[in-house]
Amino acid sequence: MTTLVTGIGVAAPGGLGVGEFWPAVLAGKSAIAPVRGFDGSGYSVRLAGQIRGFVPERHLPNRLLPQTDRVTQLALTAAEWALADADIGRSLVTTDEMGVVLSNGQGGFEFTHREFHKLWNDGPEEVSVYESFAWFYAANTGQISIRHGLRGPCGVLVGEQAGGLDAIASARRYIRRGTPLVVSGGLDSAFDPWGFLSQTAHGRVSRAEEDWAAFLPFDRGANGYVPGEGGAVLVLEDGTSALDRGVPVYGEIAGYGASFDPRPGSGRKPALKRALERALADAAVEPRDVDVVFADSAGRPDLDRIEAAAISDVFGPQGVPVTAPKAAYGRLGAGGGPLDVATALLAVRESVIPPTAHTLDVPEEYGIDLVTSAAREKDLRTAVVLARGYGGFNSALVVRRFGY
Amino acid sequence: MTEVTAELLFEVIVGCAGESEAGPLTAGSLDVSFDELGYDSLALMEATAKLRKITGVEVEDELLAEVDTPRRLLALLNGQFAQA
Repeated sequence: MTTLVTGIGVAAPGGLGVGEFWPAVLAGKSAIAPVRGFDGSGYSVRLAGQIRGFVPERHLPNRLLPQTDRVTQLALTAAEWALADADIGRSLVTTDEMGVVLSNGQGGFEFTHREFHKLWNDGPEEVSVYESFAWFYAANTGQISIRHGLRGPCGVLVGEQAGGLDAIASARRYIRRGTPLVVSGGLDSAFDPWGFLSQTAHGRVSRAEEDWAAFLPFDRGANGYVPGEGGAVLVLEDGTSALDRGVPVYGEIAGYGASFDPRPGSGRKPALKRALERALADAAVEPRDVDVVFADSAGRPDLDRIEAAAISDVFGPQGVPVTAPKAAYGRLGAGGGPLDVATALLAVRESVIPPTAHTLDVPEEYGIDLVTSAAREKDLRTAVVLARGYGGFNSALVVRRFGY
Repeated sequence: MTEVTAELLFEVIVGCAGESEAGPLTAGSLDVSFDELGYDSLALMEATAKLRKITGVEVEDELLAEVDTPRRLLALLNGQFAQA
């Protein structure tokens, strides 16, 4: 049974909608800028990858605005675009046969911050009743299910940056069990004063002041990452259903693997390589058949080294082109993996690898062929997406041109 | 003592829970079900909490759950208001 992608909706710092996002990513155009929306002058971290120009009133019914956090508004918008892209109007399946599985790791931070402010300053009676669910990781899944009447299996997965790939894998499992269509992907957003602090307090975030110096995955000068917001929603569909409907297909979700890192200090090896090997085995793909790897790209030397070692161990030194489009817009938490999957599908469709913006000086000993400076044209059939979530989560996903 | 009018109720509902899915709220909406108007139980809880701030009228959640149209909600609000 084949799981195909028939719709993509993107809400990312580089662009709202695939039409804006894809050219920006191909050009390696930076979407990293000083944090906006509140006074960021007192923070040790200056830069963020924020979505510009998103006006929820333009995309959503007025009724949904008082009850949704920004992340849910982005998720609803991306889902609507993905469903329109998949031409669900031509659906041969009933709404009972359509599910929703998304990832979200930060919940509704901004909404909750606002309501907590009311709680402490004006009293509990001032707190919006919608806080009861607007904060929740599953709010995106639930609101999409309700809005589009998708009554099949629904779920939410939380695994920081790895969670978005886990959600797509979960959707694929539902499809294999007989649900013809599942809306999947993930998004995160937390750029209120509290959310920004919570995202930066663990110290893995760059304190650089200039966008070109802040997030340099695999560069000798790597000094942390830039937190961003948004993500992607994909429509996943059983092969028979997609072909019966006669809709265009972006590609196939061909394999998935996950692993969990050993306890820090245990002396045992990081588990990323195992997730990668499992994904290749699940897809029945040999390393030599993989044409490009979309790296997790933590942007810190110790973590970059672990990932470079996993890639060069499996594919051989300089054995496969590697890229990190997120260098241009930041790490998006639950949105990062699905956005990389969307980017990989577009790359495979157009046979071009988007560049890793900003990174220039990759240490020889990493043994990876990183695509820097400019996009690289190459015939692409199979791509691997890697993602690591804070706390030890590792996930890998294989996407393939359909029909290959 | 001020009665809760339809105008005030509608203004508060829209303020708390957004505009109705069935178009602007008018006298003609009084007997349309909250379901059709697109307001769920949370929207009504939010609106009655706001009305309590404005008018002092209290509504028990259990009674609120049995109210299905704006006219019935007004009756509940004003009935309790009269008793108070």
